[in-house]
Amino acid sequence: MTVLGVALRYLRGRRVATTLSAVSIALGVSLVLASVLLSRGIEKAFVEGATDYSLIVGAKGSATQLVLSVVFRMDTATPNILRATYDRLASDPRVDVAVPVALGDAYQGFRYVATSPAYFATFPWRRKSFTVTEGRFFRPDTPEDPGYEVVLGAEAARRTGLRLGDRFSEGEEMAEFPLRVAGILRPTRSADDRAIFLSLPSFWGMNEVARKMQMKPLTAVLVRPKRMSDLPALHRQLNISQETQAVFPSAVLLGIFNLLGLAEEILGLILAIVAIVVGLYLFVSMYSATLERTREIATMRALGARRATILAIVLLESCVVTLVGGCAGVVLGHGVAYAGAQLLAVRAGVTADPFAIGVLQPLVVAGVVLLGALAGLLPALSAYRVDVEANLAPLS
Amino acid sequence: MVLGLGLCLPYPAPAQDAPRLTFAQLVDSIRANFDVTQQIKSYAGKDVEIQGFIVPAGPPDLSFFLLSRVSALGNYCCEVPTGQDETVYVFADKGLKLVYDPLRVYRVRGIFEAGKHVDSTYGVSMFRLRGARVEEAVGAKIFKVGETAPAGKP
Repeated sequence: MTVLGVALRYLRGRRVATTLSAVSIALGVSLVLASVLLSRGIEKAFVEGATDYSLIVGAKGSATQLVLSVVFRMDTATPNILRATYDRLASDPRVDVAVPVALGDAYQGFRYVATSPAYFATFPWRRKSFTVTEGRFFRPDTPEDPGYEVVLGAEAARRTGLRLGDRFSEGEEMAEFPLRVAGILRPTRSADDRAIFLSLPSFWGMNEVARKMQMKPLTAVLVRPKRMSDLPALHRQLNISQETQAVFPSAVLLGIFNLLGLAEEILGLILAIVAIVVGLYLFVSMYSATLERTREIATMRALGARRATILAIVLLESCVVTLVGGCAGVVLGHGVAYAGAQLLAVRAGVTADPFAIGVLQPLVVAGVVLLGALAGLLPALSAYRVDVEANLAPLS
Repeated sequence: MVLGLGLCLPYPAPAQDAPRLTFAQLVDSIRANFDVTQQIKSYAGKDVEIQGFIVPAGPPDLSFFLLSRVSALGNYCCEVPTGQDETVYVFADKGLKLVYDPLRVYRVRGIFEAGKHVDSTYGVSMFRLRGARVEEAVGAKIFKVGETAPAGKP
């Protein structure tokens, strides 16, 4: 029988202790893996979902609220600004593209986003492109003759079940202004997948307050300058005005990443304690198992087994338990990350990838096996030093 | 006034071989029609260090950002940012991992380029750093012309 065969037989011999050790390792590994996967997934989702516009201009207030609501649709919208702000920006010689955005209520939780056709346009600097899988974009219309057409984000279409040509409205108040589905967008892996897009005249027509206003309201203006070097001056000019604030969306996201990084560091400390507890549990389990079988070890030695073979058997037992626990932990960790990602997608609209495979998984398993080898080292040395004569003496 | 302002450092830089350029040097090097002096051009293609504030004008992974003499925080209470002569376009091959603070001065090193360049994504620029590495410039402070470092500090 091989050394591994003996080690496996020993493990089978104390099935309950072996299973409990493997389960505790699996739980520890899954905790580490799920935390890292979700944390990285959230950061990646924010990076991928970020806007290509350099500046977001909105009402005075929280910069984070402005970016989260306008780019990620995760917060309540900031107060309105007047359309005049957009007009000024659109005619500013430093501005390449200005896109007006008005955030409305929601249909089955999917937010109305009123904007101009420029929102879907392709530019050399733009990573994201918008195409329709069905139908077309809403037609340009005017406040005098709103079209009440919408284009659904891919996720909004899937989850609401709305199809091309369907007419819908939410609540009795809006029944007077039913919207018609003109198109469905291809998935963009961003918050736009969960939006219901319509034209600004349609939005203003549906809104009782906006209908009566001469100067129509907006939530924000997305700005891309011709020269990046003009941004600081533009940023300052918009921030010293009494009505508006201008925000670098990346600055807000980097602030969020700073917080995530802090949370990761604290989590790292907790996970280190978990690793120590799991290592200690494995050590105690292996040590007591070695003490219980000193007579067996002495017998094996008497039958010709070398000290190195005994050392290898105990070390292998420890490594096999951690390897099995580690692999099970990787599978469980992805499962927990998947559940977490689903929860995040539903509650916060963040699409984190729970199945990102990289160097992390083999690194975690290797680390766990190393931990197992360390935890098994003292019991293995204890088995290595078993005195054959003393332990083969009659018990009574 | 702007030409007279520069980023000066109260503490000596660590003993590293990359030459350090200040915004004052960059501003002084600009000539008519997007041209720059031969002296500043002599740094082109070399690894140089520039210190300034990060303006995250590009993606949040900081694969592109502006390095500015003036902080991008709030309403620029103290000084007015003026334009391209006071910004350097910084490109990092991969995204950068750093704790971003709009009030901190960062030490950015990379391959220096000077003179007009048109980028399809980021537009026209005068000064660029490519393959950037970034670290916090501890102790750095912006000095205006006429100010001197505290006694005992070089």
